[in-house]
Amino acid sequence: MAQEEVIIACKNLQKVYDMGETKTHALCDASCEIRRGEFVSIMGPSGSGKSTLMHVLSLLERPTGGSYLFRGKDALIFDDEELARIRNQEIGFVFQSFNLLSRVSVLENVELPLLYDFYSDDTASDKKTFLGRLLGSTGKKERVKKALADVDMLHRIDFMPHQLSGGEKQRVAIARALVNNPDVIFADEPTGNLDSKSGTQVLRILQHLHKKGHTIILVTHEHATAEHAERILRISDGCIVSDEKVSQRRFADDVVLVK
Amino acid sequence: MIRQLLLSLRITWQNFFAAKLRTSLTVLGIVIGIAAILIVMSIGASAQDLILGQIRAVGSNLIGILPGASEDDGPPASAFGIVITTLTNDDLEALRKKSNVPHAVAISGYVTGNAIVKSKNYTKSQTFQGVSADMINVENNTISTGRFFSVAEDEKNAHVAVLGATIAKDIFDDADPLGKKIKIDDQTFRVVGVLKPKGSSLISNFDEMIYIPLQAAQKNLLGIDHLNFIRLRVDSEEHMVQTEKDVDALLRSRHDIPDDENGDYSIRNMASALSIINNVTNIMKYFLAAVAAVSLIVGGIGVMNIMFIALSQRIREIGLRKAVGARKRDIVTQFLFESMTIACVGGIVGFLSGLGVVYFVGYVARVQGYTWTVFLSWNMVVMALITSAILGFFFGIYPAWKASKISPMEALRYE
Repeated sequence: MAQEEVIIACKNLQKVYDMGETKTHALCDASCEIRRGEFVSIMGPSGSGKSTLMHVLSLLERPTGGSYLFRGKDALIFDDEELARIRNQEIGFVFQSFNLLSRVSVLENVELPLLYDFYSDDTASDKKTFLGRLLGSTGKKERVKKALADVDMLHRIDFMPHQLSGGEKQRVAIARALVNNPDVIFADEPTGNLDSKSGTQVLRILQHLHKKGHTIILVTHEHATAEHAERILRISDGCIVSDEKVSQRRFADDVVLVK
Repeated sequence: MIRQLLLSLRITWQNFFAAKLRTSLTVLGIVIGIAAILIVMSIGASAQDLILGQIRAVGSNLIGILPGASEDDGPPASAFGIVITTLTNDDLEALRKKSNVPHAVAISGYVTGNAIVKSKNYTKSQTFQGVSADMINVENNTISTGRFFSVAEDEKNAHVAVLGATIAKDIFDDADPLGKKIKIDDQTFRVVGVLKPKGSSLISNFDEMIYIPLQAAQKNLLGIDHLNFIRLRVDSEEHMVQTEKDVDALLRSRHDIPDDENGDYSIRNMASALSIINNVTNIMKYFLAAVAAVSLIVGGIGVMNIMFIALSQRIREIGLRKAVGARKRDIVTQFLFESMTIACVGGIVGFLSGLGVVYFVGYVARVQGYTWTVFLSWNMVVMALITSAILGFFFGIYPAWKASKISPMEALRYE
C-alpha cells in the first residue's frame, strides 16, 4: 500500500494549564502521526488528557510546547482567518451533544458550514450572480443531499431536530461534518449520549465513511467503542501510553439500521 | 452571505418571540423615543403653522407704530402697560398724507379701554377699541351685516359701534343687532354693523371686540388725546422697508429727534414679528426633540441589553458557528445585523404609534375649530429608520465584539 499523506504529525506536545498556584499538566510529551484514510481512536479515562489532545489536534487550543504539523504546515502559527478556513474546509466536528440548531430544519443544519464556505469553487461561483448569492445554489443543496444520503438521513431532510431521535440527530451532525468534504473528522464521544443501538448505528456510519476514504479520529473512554477503529492511541495522565493496531476490530455492520 | 444573515435572523426572531414580553419591554425605549421625536417635531410644526397662519391672516405687510423707544428687537415699554403719550392724533394725520407715506394703503389709530357695556338683558365689563374708519381695511376684516362707520362719523364724534361676531351674539342672542342701542359707560351707541368671525389671534380677538370711532373713544370715554398705537397697511411687501423709513423720517422730524438718537416711538413690522416667533418656536421644538432623544439612548441601551441576553443564550450556537468555520467578522456581522433589525423594528413601531398620536391630536384640534395641518413627510420615515439603524449599530458593537470572542470550544462543552 502506498504511503498516504501525513495529516497530523505532532511531537512532544505539552499543554499546561496555569491556574496561578498550581500548574496542571494536561498533556506531556504526546507524539503521534495520523495519515490520510486512517480511523484512529483516542482512548482514555476521564481526566486522562484525551480531550485536551483532541482540542490541540483539531486546532481549538494551542499547545504550550512541542510541535504540530497539520498537513505539513506548522499549525502553531495559523492566524484566526487561516484557522476559520481550516475548520470550514479541512476539519469536521461531531460532538457528544450533537449541537444541532434547534430552531432550523435538518437541511439548514447541514447547510451551516456551507454558509461559511468562502473558498470552494462551486460556492464561489454562487457569488457571481445576485440570485445565487441570495438563494444559495442548487450545487449547495446537492452537497447537503449527498451528505445526508451518506448517513442515511435523506428522508428526514425537512424535519426539525426535535422530531428526531438521538441517533438520528447524531447522524445529521455527522452529515454536517461531512458536507464540506473535510480531510479529517473529529468525533468527540459521539456515542456518549446515545443508547447502545443508536450508538452502534453511528459507529457503523463512521466505519462506512472510513471505508469511503475519510480520515476519522474518534475520542472515547469506552473500550468497545474504541475498537471500531483500526488503531487506538491510549492516553493516561497526559501521555500516550500505547499506540497499536486493533487486533480484533469490531464491525457495526451486522446491525440493521432502523429508519 | 445573505442566506447566512437570513438564517441567523430567523434564529434571532424565534429567540425573541420565545421571550416576547422581555423583548418588547427592551425595545420599548426605541419605540417611545422615535414616537416622541416624531410627535414633538410634527405637532410642533403644526402648532407653529397655526400661530404663523393666524398672523398671516392679519397680513404680513402691516407696520405697527408704538409709543416709546425700545431696544432693537425687544418689546417697547408700552407693551408692559406703561402709559406713554408721545403718539398723537396729529401724528396719525401726518402719516395719512399720501405725500409723506406713499405706499400706505390704509392706516388707523387705536385706543383700547374697558367699560361696562349694557343692553336690555346684558351687563358686562368689556374691552372696546376706538379706531379709525380705515381700520377695517388695515386689518382685512369683513362686515357680515350692516356697515363699518365712516370717516365722517369718526370726525364728528358719532356714537356708533361695530361689533365682533361673538359679542354680537352674546349681547343680542339671535336678534338682529342693527340699529339697536348699547350703553358703554352710560353713553349710548347705535350698532351699525357686525363683523364676520375671524377667530382669535395673538394680536387681538376681533370676534369679541366692540369697535367705536376713535374720536368718541378718546374724548367721550377715555378722556385722552394720545394713541395706543397706529397700524398701517403697505401696498406690497417690497415696499415694507421703504415705508418703515418714510414713517421713521416723518415721526423723527415731527418729534424733533436728531438722527443719531432713538426715537420716542417704535416701528414694528409683521415680517420681523413672524421671524421672531418662528425662531422662538423652532427653539422650543428642537429643545423638546432633544429631550425626547434622550429616551433613544435609553432605547439603545435596551438593545444592547437584549443583545447580551441573546449572546448568553447562544454561546453554544456561536461556538458551533466558529467550529464550522465562521470568522470573527462573520459573527460580528451577524450580531450587528440582528441588533440593527431589532432597533429598526422598534423604530417602525415607534413611528407608527407616533403617527397615530399626531393624527389623533390633529383630529382633536380640528374638532376644536383650529385650522390644523398635520406635517409629515417621507424623510421623517427615512430619518426614523436611519436613526434606529444607527442606534442598533452603535449599541450592537460591544455585544457583537463580545460574541466574536466566543471560542469554538464552547460547542464542545457537554451540558
